[in-house]
Amino acid sequence: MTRPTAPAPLLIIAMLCAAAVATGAALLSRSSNNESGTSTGAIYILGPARSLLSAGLYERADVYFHKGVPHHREEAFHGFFHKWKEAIVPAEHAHAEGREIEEIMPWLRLATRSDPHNIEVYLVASYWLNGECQRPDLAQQAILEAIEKNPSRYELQYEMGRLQLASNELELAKESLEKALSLIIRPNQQDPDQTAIDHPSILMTLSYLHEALGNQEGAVEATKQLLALRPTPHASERLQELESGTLDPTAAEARLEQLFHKTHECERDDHDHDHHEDHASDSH
Amino acid sequence: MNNIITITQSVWLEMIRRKDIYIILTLQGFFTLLLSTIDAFGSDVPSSYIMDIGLMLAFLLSIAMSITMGARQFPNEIRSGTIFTILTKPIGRFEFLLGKWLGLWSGMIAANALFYLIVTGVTLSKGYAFELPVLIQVFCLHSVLLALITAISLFFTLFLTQGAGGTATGIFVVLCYLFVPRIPNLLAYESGWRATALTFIYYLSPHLELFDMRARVLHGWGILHGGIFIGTIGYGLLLTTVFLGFSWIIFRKKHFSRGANL
Repeated sequence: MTRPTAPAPLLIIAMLCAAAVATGAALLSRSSNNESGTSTGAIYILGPARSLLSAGLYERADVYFHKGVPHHREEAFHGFFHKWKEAIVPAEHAHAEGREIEEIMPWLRLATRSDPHNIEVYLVASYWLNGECQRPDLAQQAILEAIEKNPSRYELQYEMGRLQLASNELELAKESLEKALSLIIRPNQQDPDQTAIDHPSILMTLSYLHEALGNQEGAVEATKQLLALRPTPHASERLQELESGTLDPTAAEARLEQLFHKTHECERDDHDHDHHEDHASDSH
Repeated sequence: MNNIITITQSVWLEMIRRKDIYIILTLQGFFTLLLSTIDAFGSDVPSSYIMDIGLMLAFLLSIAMSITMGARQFPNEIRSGTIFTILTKPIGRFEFLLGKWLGLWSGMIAANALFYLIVTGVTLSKGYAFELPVLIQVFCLHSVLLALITAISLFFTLFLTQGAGGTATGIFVVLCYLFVPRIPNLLAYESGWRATALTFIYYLSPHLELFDMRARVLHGWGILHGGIFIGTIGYGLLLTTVFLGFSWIIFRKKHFSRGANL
């Protein structure tokens, strides 16, 4: 019926896509050992689009956590076709539970592959792996990888410290928190609001950590820094107790456990649910 | 009926002769296999992400193929002059139109079945369990969507050139799939004549999003109620009939001239 024609544009586009994907895959599969701020080949090729892609994949992980239900948007009316669509694909609020949550991990992994400097994704992955998924070993691996790619970010050292605290590795936790402290005082690509929250928290944790390890001098020093940063009656009282030589390592350990007890607060505002204790959140 | 089958077979032969489907199948397989190599931070829980991205690719690629293949049917016949030969034979214009659409649709269903086979094969090999009846429902609604898109594509190329017809179909499909379902959200910020116009568009436009029930199989929502399923298929077939009807109205009176700029 029709005579043969030249190769269709679709073919050429498809072949170019295949070549682009193959190149991208090869570059993405390379491990990145370079310091923060230096782009890998893949990142160089993708440019700023990688951040958008990473954000999109991260959002997809959130949709998976909510069992495929997207964010609710304000609407003028709930049209007939909306109701029909909701009968086809449910829109009621739901959460993945238990190991089902691990279904979000491939999306988070794809997001970190797209943008290894999106540390929020690493922190969320670590949170779930350490919490609901009960895989603290994998959480530490994820944060270790994040630190390799983003060595100047204090948040990652802080998270590593928290993971080590949860695993009762007090010495290692102290080292991580001290690294976090040394990084936090350098105002480098950090969120000032979050830093204002984290800085006193790190000092407070270090203070208790030193106490738990029986190091009075370290505990006093951390508390003094905390007082200088944010004077509170509780910190003054604690400094007086520490300077008087009253150390209680067991109580300090208990306090640390209390400090790092997390509960999940779903960030979506389109629903009410009362199982905050059942799942944890990306409250980072 | 024999004439329709003959035209359908000729469309099939053309699809087989062209290499588009092979390349797209290779791309689909390549992407899906590439995804299966991702390590999810060491997690060993089977995830539906491969099926998710695989099905998304199947939707995107099958829609793109339906548009491009549909858009070249009539312009190619006119450009090559074969339409004059065909229409002088005892083949009615309605049979010709229906044969073209049926050939395209059945060809796309076959290609789509291969897409689904690749996706389910890789997904199963990674240990992810899903409900097969739900996947079959997804496939059925997807097939109805392709029936509609091929009909829209044929309709546009009856009065536009191949490029313009393909582009118009693409824009129309994207608008109906992505924009029209968002109209109630947009109306939250609009009033006056704009709101009236948007409401009119909302109720009048085809709602292509209804044919996408991937989330049901990906998130284990279970099988779709039979009444809603049949109703959605009926809605799709009704829209397809409407577009084929419009095409027939244009085609039956259309005057063809040699050397037309298509």
